[in-house]
Order: sequence, then structure tokens, then C-alpha cells
Amino acid sequence: MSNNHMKADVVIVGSGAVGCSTAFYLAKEGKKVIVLEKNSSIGSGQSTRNGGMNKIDGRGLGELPIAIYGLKVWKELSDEIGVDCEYVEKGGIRIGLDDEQIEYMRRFLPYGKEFGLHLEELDGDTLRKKIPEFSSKIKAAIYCKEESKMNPLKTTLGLYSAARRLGVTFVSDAEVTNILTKKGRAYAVTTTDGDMYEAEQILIAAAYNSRKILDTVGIDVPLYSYYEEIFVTEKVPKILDQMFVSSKVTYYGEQQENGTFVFGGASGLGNYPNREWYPKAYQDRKRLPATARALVDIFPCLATTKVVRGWGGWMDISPDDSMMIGETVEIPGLYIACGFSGHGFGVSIPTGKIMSELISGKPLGADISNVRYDRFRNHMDMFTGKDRNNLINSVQKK
Amino acid sequence: MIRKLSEKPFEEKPDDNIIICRCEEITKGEIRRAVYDGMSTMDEVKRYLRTGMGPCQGMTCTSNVKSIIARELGVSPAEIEEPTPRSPQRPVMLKEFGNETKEDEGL
Repeated sequence: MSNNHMKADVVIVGSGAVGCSTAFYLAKEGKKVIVLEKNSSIGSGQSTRNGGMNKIDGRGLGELPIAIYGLKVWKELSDEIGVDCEYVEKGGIRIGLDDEQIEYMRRFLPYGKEFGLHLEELDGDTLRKKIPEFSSKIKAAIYCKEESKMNPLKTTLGLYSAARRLGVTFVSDAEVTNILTKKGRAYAVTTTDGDMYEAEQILIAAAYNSRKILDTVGIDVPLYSYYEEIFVTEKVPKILDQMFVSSKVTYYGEQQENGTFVFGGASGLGNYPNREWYPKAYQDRKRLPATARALVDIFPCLATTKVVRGWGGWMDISPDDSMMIGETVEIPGLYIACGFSGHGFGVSIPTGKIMSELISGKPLGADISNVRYDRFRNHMDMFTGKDRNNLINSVQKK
Repeated sequence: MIRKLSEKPFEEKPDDNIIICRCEEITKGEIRRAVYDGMSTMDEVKRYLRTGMGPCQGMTCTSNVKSIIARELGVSPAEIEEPTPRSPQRPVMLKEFGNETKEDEGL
């Protein structure tokens, strides 16, 4: 069998929500796009393993413009792709059980208001007047009107299906190992099978694996990998329209449109799984029961509801818990979108749209200057300890 | 695997309204349509349609869903990989599930 050698305008590595949405929006502009996926299934990483929520309150300030741009993108998405993404924008709740937690969640209020978000602090009783099922243990809550929930599975695979209809080529079981450059410009990627995919513009949106791939051209994106588990219950009558998280996001959840409760969190129990040992999934017997206890604590009425399925997923975390995106300065034609830090699904589709605007040279829908991929780079001058770039600039001015 | 588009339009069949996944009430026609729309693995069909995601966790429908996908793709069912089984094996009440490891944690 001969190796694949294909050419396109844009090659995207990673078929998650960001890869699929970038491909979809580029194909709408008439670009020829190839999307490469390491696994046998499209979008089998975080994009189809998350809780399906768009949490805006508490996001890093660099991500906020993108999240706000997303309010418009999400509303149009279902009609654009012809698949119902079950997008429901009925707000979100952050709950605090004690004074420390309440103090912690109040930190975001002044920033959120500056960005025009509708945030409101409710005391426990006011919250229970709105949603009587919440436990009396909850002392206070912050309600954010702009927050929403969606079905991550249908969104990701719906985008795949829609992009494919528009002529995007998807290749599964294609693990990219190298980025090739010619005269300093990125021009192709190669896979473990020896296939080669050429394009003028290449986007790396492969979550944690982005680091390994970008390493082949000397760009380092500081990411580490973190594992979290989540479970889903049987269908119960509708009690909750809003998504909710705990003050420090140690657990989070929502009731899906079909009535099931999705509930996940980092319990801090069980062994820390080594990614090299458990590349697919690793379930520790301690983690899910602890999360189940947390859910019964918050919604005592669910005590007799049954857990149907638990699963886990790897997240790629950046040093400041915000995404890392942009066109690289070092290698023209090479783009990056990774580091979504476990709360990326809500901003994944708007980021995909922004990446497509960036790649096709159009004005961007939101300011991305504070989430650049190279914001952690150390520019310190070895003699003076000052920022090296400023130093060079000042020398050049003279 | 390159995900090729079918050149022919989707063809409806007389038995398309048979329910295959009883928990989520997914019909044969919906599964065939999903494969036509690009879903080529059991995981993709499961995530897109929720087949095998209900209370029985696919214990009833897995082999049927697999056969339908295989036939639509024109391959042997043996070539289709089944979705990863997930815990718990049977649905468990939250309050009981939460007691599972309490002793280990000293609670």
C-alpha cells in the first residue's frame, strides 16, 4: 500500500470541537481543508467527554472576550450545521457552602461587571425560592445570566458531519508526529504511518499532544495533563434549567435536555493516573462514589436516582488555566489552539470561528491578545534581568 | 481511514422505523442515517444518537447496532470495535453508590 500524500489549503491536526469548528467555518469560506485525527473515532477526547456547559463567571480575563463573542456564535450554531446542539441559555449558578467559599467566588464580581455580564449574588433562601431542590447547606450563590449548557456530543459530531458535507476531508487513525518547514515556513505534517499532508496553513489543535507535535519545530507550549471523572444518572423529571458549579469548581453539573443529570468533579481521591500507562481511560473506584456523595449533598432529592455510567477524560491545563491560541511568530503559516484547561467546551466553537478568521485573514470576532500561545515565554535578559524584547526595541530605536 | 462522502443520496428502507435501542428509542433508520452522515465507529454512533447510553448500557442493542453499522459500511461486524464498557455494571442508587468507598476514606 502506498502512503497518502494529500494537499489542501489548510491542514488541521485534531478533530475535537476546535478542529471541527475551524474546519467547518473555513469550508464555508470555500477553503479546502483536511482534518487529521489520531484516534479511530472523531472527537474522542475532551470534546465528547465534558459536562457540556459554558461557564463564564470565573473564567480567566483573557478568555472573557471570546466567551462573550461565543454568545452570538452558539445561538446560530444549531441552524448553521442542521443538528440540534441542545443549546439552552438560562444562566448558571456558582454555589458556596461556607464563608471561605463565598469570599472566593465574590472575587470575580467586579471583573464580570466590567465586561458587561449580568451577575447577581443570591442568599441561600432566595436561591431555594427559585429552585427549591437545592440543599439547605448552600449559604449563597452567584447567578450569571449569560451562562448556558449544550450537548457536547451532538455539537462536536454535528460539526464533523456538517464540515464533511461541505467537502472537508477527515482522516482518522492518523497520528501526526512532525511538522515540516521549508525556508522557515510550515508546509506539511507527517504521520506515524508515513503519510504526508501539505498545506500553506497548519493548525495544531490536539490538546495535550500539541506540545509534543510543536516540539518538532522548537515551539514549547507549557501544558500538563490532568484527569477527571464524570457520571450520568437515569432520566428524572426536569428540576434544573441552569448549570451549576461549586465555588472552586471542585464539582459541577447540569441536567441535560433529556432529563439525565451529568455530574463531574475532582474529588482528589484515588491514585493519580499516569497518562503513559493509561492512554485511554483510567477509573479509580474511589473517585466516582465521592462525586456521587457531593451530588446528593447538593440535591438531596436525587438520593434514590440511579447512576448509569461513569467515564473519565484527560484535560490539557495551561499555567494560568486559560487557552493558548494564535499564529506563531517563529514559523509563519503555523497556528496553535490548545490549553483549554478543562473548561474549554463553552469557548471551543467561538475559538474555532476566531481561528478560521485568523487563518483566512479576516477581522477577528474578539480580542485574543491576552490568550496568546507565547505569553509564558521568558524574555529575561541574562545580564540585566530585564525583559529582553524591550531591551532590543530600545537598542533598535537608538 | 479517509472518511469518504457517499455519492448516492440516502435511501430509505421499509423497516427503518424498527426500534433498535429500546432505552433511548433509536430506530434502525436513525442509525443508518447517522452512518450516512459520517459516523463510522460504534463510539461515534453512540455519541451522536445515544444508542446504548440508557439504563441497560447497550446490553440489549450492541450487537444489533454493530450489525447495522457494518452492513451500511460494507464490512464484516468483526471489524467494528465495541464501545468501552463503563462502570457501574448495573445502575446503582446515588446514596448507595456514595457509600462504596467510605471505609477506605475513614468516613
